[in-house]
Amino acid sequence: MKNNLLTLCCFTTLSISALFLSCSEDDNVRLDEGSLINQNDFTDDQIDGDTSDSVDTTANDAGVGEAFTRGAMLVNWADKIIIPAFESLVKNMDSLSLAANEFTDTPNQENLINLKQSWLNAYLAWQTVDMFDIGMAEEITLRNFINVYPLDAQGMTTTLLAGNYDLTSINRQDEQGFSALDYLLHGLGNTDEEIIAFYTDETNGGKYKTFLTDVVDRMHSLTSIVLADWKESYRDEFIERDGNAATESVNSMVNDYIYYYEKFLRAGKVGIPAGVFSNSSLSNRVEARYRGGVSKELLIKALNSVQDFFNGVHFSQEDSGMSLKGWINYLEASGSTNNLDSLINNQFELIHLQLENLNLDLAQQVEIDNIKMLETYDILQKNVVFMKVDMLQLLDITVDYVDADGD
Amino acid sequence: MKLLKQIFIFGGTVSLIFLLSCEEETVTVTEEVIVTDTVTVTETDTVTVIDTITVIDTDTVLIGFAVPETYLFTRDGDTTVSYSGQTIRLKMAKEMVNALKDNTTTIAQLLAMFDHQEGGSDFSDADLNASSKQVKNKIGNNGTATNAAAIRADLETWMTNQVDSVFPAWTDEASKGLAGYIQEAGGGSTRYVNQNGLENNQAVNKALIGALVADQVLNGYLTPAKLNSGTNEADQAAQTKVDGKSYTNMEHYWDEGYGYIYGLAADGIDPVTTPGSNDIFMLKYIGKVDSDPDFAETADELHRAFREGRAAVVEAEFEARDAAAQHIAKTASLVIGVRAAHYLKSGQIGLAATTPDMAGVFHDLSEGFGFVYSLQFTLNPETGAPYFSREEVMEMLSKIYPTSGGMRGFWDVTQSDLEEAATTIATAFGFTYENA
Repeated sequence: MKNNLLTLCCFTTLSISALFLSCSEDDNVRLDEGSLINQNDFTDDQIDGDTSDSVDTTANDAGVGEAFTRGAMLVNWADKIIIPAFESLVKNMDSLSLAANEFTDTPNQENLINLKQSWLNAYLAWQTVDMFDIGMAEEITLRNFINVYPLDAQGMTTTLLAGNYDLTSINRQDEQGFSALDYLLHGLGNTDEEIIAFYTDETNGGKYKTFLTDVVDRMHSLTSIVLADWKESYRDEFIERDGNAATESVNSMVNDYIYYYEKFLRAGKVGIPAGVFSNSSLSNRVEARYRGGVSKELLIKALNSVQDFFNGVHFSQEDSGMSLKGWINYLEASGSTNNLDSLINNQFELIHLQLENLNLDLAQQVEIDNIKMLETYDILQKNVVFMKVDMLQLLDITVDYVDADGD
Repeated sequence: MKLLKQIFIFGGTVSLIFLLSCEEETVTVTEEVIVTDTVTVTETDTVTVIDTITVIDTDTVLIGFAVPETYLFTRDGDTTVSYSGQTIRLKMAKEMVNALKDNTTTIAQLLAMFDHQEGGSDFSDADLNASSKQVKNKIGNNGTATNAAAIRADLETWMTNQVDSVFPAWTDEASKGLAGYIQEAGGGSTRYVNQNGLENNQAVNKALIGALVADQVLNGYLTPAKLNSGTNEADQAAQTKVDGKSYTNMEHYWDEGYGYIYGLAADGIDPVTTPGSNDIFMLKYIGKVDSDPDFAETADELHRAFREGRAAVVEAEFEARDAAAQHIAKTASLVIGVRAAHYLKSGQIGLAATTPDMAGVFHDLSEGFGFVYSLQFTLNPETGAPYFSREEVMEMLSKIYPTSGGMRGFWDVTQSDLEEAATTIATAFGFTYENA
């Protein structure tokens, strides 16, 4: 990742340039950026309207006034959010496996279309768990095998044709996962017929089928391992580790959460394609670039998941429980109130509002009007500051990650 | 307060002499000083300060002469600062290091870059080809001739290994005992390592920070032996310039030392504010150390010492000059020590992961290897010797990069060996493993 998050930023537009003056060689955490922004430069009437499909967070103030305990929050996270999200992902992986088998058995257009839909469903489901890089997911570095993008398409093709590959090797992490399937299902040709031809080719068709199956099987198996571990043992360990030390669950999870938001949502999905970390924009760095047209949908799903987690909204969307928001409320009730939770939720709503201005295909958005992408990044960045600085200070949690050197 | 003013220190006891030595002229400076040690000063009274105290002093202190805010020195309206030869050598060294990452480079090309002869077409930059300057003859040449030969041989060994072993394996996956490529996790950078997990290009790059930069500055140009050579002291006192130049010999020597560190800065006059990103040697890592809160102000402190010393040279205040040089030695050495310990610690943390990102570990350890190597070129002003001798450095390298008895270097190094080496380094420089 180090070299993917490159160098200096030069923008001609005055209104944004101030923000990026401090960009350094690495994708460094630039807390000072946010302080350049007037935190009061939005008003309530800017955030009306149907801006998201999240649960209305003002209607259900779970946690307010109740005695806060870390343990109760961990139970809510594990039982109502994390495990159901992984269950949903694995169900989607079941379907993906089935569809992949049908396609490799009978490579025709109907089965390809079906497989593409299963891929997209699973990809959306992935967005709901990506932030939970803890426990077994962290141990096996799930994210690095499931959703590294951009794909090394050339390397993947070489690997696929050579056969005898080892998908467990770190060298192969950018040749598998959702981005590999994206290429295998959408990027091999311009039409379904052209794509199917790769799988029916007399010489190499078998290799394409085998590789497709191997990639899907690996995703299916890794996600199943993580789910099983949550259900069989990690859930109890997770909720038992309810202290406030850096290694306990709450501190670890909150760090993972903010790290995800900062590196993979803000930077990965928006900042890198918009060229925030490079000398020019990189439209081909968007998620699902070969499929096209779904990168915004994936971003919205990720954003909703992040916002729901903050508010303790259950995966079922039917209710909510103890959350970061409830914790903030609890602490603010006994101290100087500054409505940090509202600040953060308002910012999420502003992000949703901004997303309405973007093309369904973020790559096109970069190419047609990248300023809107840069604006989106800036609005996302404000919540890095609210959460990583203000929230962590209030919750007395120390940031446990540092950035790589970048060389 | 009055007594405290007398023991005002900038960063080490060495500056003390410097501060107390000048009594005639006065300038006003503002400094925040944190005294953490027990300091005993004998002047008219004996003053003992124990414990940590923060002194903010805006009073007049005695430093004898004015120190400019930037590295701007003039005589009769002309700049007296020149270090173009150092900039050229840094550029040559940088091209050589970059060539190690191009698998089409031949060993002949690398060695020609190393011992460039005027007019040879060794570099992409025509100015470098036309220059009579050379990197190799400035490598390790402030120690014994035996060591200098050994140090040059070390660098050539790594370069040869790169060409002979790593380039042919450019498209092979590295494994224990076999050179090749290995990619960092998450689709990260691809690293090219030798049979023992070492990136030769990193070894050369980081070793040059000591063997070229630190050695030339600390053990060469800024030593009294060099600065006072010939009739330099008398010339300086009389402000006798070099024929046809605006500067004196001593001023020029000081600036040549300066140039090895700041010669590739975007703004050589104010490189603390505007270092740029061209340098890949000492300056780059001054910035890295400075950005660690444990070592905040390192960049500023080092540059200030250069300015103080240069101003002292102009005024022929040789004691003050040497105090500044000692301060530079201590700070520049610290930069090497901090980075050496930092990379070993990073490698240890990387190895501790359930699924270690070996490419990342190898990259950190390869950088650490070069910085550890560079420790032999540091200078401890209190002892007049390096913080670690060449023998100690080679011993440490054999622990963090074990290759005897069938051991495969970074593939076989243990976390405890890394932690032990990093702790040894940290202790020598007065910081901790946690700080690294």
